[in-house]
Amino acid sequence: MTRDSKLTPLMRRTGRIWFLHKFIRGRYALAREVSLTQRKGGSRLLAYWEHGRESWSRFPESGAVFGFVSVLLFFIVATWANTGWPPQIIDGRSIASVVTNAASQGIIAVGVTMLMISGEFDLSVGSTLGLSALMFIIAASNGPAGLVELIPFGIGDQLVDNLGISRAGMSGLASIAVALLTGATLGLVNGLLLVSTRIPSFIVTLGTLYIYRSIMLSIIPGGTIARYTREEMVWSFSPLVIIGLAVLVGVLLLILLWPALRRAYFRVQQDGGMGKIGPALHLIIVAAAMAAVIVVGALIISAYGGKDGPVKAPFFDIINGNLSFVKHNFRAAIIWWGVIAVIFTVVLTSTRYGNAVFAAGGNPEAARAQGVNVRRVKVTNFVISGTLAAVAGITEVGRFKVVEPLRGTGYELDVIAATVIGGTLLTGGYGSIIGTVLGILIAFMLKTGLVLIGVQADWFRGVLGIIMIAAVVLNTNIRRQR
Amino acid sequence: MSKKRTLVILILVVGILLSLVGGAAARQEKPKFFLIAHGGPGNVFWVTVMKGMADAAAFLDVDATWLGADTASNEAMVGFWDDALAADPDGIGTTEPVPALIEDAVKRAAAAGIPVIAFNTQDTRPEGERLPHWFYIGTSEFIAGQAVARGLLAAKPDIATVLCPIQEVGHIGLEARCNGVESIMAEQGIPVVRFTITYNLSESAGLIGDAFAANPDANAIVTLGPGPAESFYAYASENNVTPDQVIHATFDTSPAIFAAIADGRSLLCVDQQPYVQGFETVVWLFLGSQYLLKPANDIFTGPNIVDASNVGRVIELNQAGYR
Repeated sequence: MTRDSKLTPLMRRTGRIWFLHKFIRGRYALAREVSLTQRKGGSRLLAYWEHGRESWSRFPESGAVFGFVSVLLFFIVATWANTGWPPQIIDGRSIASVVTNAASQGIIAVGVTMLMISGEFDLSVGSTLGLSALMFIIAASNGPAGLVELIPFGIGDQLVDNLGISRAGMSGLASIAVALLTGATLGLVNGLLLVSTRIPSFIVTLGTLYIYRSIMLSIIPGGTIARYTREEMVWSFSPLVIIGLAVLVGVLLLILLWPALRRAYFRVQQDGGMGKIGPALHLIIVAAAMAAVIVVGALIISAYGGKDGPVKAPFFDIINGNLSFVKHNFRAAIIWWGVIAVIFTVVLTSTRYGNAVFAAGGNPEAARAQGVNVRRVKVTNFVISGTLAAVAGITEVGRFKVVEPLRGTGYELDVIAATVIGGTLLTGGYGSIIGTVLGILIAFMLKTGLVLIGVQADWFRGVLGIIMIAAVVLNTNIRRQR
Repeated sequence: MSKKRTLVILILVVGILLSLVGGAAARQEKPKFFLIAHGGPGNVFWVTVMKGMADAAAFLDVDATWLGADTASNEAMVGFWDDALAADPDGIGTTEPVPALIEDAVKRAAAAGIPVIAFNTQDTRPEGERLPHWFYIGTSEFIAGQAVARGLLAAKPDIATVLCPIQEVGHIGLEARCNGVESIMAEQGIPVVRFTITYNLSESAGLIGDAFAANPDANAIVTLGPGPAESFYAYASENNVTPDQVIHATFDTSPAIFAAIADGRSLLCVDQQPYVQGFETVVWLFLGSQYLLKPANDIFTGPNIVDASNVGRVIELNQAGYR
């Protein structure tokens, strides 16, 4: 066993920076273990096998990685058999179809995962998404007056007339703020209801799922579709802004990955011999990430006219436009999804708050004993979940520029299914965002793949159900090996 | 032990997936079409369209796949459109309940030279702004609504108020049906009350009851599909509402609707001929993609009125899956 096992589970989690780092650490453990087993007279192969099982069982996302790879391999073979080489599933259009359509639910799932690890559910995310998207489109098209008019009993209309509230549409950033605030408030209501009434979150959020949807239906009743009708907002700014952003992201990457890098280096000094590859790999990945940031920045600048003047980008394209510098239907929301997933992975695995989230879901009593305010953690996670649902709503408006009254219906169970496939426990205390991202990708890859091989629509959900149950069985077995 | 269980489940999963592919792998040389809709196998109406599609595909020896949510979802169409385009189709038929959702994808198809035919529900914006589909195969909802209203007035001139429950909020086709009814009723000064119901039979039956309670003078109801019609029948039989008290007409068809017309509980139904929508969409996708043939205009598949005079023969055809 590695010496990690002497530490408490709480402390063990703080050390991890994310999958890559775990992988590198695993290499050192392997070197020690293999030599140990050999000294005891066991075979080298057996040692590798035992070690592999042991180290896989330590990651919540290992089942999802396995699932993702097998579903991908399956569709590579199946589409190859269907239409020949190259397999359609790895065609740019198919990949775009998977990730572009997955982005919205993917963003929601990040928040839902945080919440589920802390031991609670949020069934209201679909309704929260709808209502936030609606607020966003109202703020952008009808301005402050549009929002105030929503106050019922004619009070809103009175206020607009008497105070002379502006009907000019709000700026892009202000509209985003309105939407995020809506999502955060709806999440806060969920959280406060939970801690004040102490009824299960399943019931609380099932209730608010209906309530939020009804509010939405009362704002845009039967048959109406809220549309963004004003002129397209175009943001224009100096290319320096993009360069500055790229530098900022680069610096952030360095700061985040530096401790892991240093630790890896000292491990080499201790272990000696095997594992020089680890730090080198780590350095390469850091360098590649920073290079990617620079390349994307440069592409954005050249694609949106920054070569000979200010960068001009339509506001909705920044939110979720077609990325014109790549082929096919890849959209900006994919980038936002990635950024959000990375941020919350770091929060979850490398901060005190992340520890508190695991503790609150895993063992609330012990967490309280260690000074964690469990109720505050849960309420915060409801706010995160609501806010991320609003982010997803904003990206959907950026793509379609309309909101229908049923927008977001049914997302909640799809998102929970993906989270569960990703290895997060329904009972809380265990899970990972990387797993959830893979879970969402599995679900959408399944949909696209089944279309590519010509399966009629009747079976989509059925196959998803089969995969979900299989994934959970797999996850449970992997976890038991610890 | 646990390893064995994992293995069994894995084999099961792979087996089921392989058998799905097995069916798919055989057909690759044929022209490949997709019909993308806002509904699917959970709704009797779409089942008839799907039968039309499958029959035409078998008849022409082409590949046609139905892509739609189990019961109803406009949003699901977005993903299906992207998936269908990734599969290199020879043609796509699509419904257009919320055009903005699929606008981008339809334009990509047009740019790639893939024939797109709208069926069942079309983008109602003027030509030029409208989605770039070749033409439309389906009913004219507004004209059908007018036909229903005329039929109701002919049978019962003393209508006071008409109820018009809408089961799919935001569906322009359903709104157009109500508009058609309203346009004729307005000439006589008869109000049409719209309200929202769901696809849940018993829940909607309750909502319909509530609407009659709120509008005591309502003595006519127009339902916009087979599900809502069944909800009305449930409401009527539970509350002993007779056809003399409330006259009922409905859009679309189902065995229950035909039975109700046969025994007088319903006056009439307008058949938009869903079988034709599925069948002709595949036929024209075939003619269009293979020989560049297309009709000069939209093809209207309805309204075709079923009432007491012809319901007997229609019931036989319904059992065969064509009506």
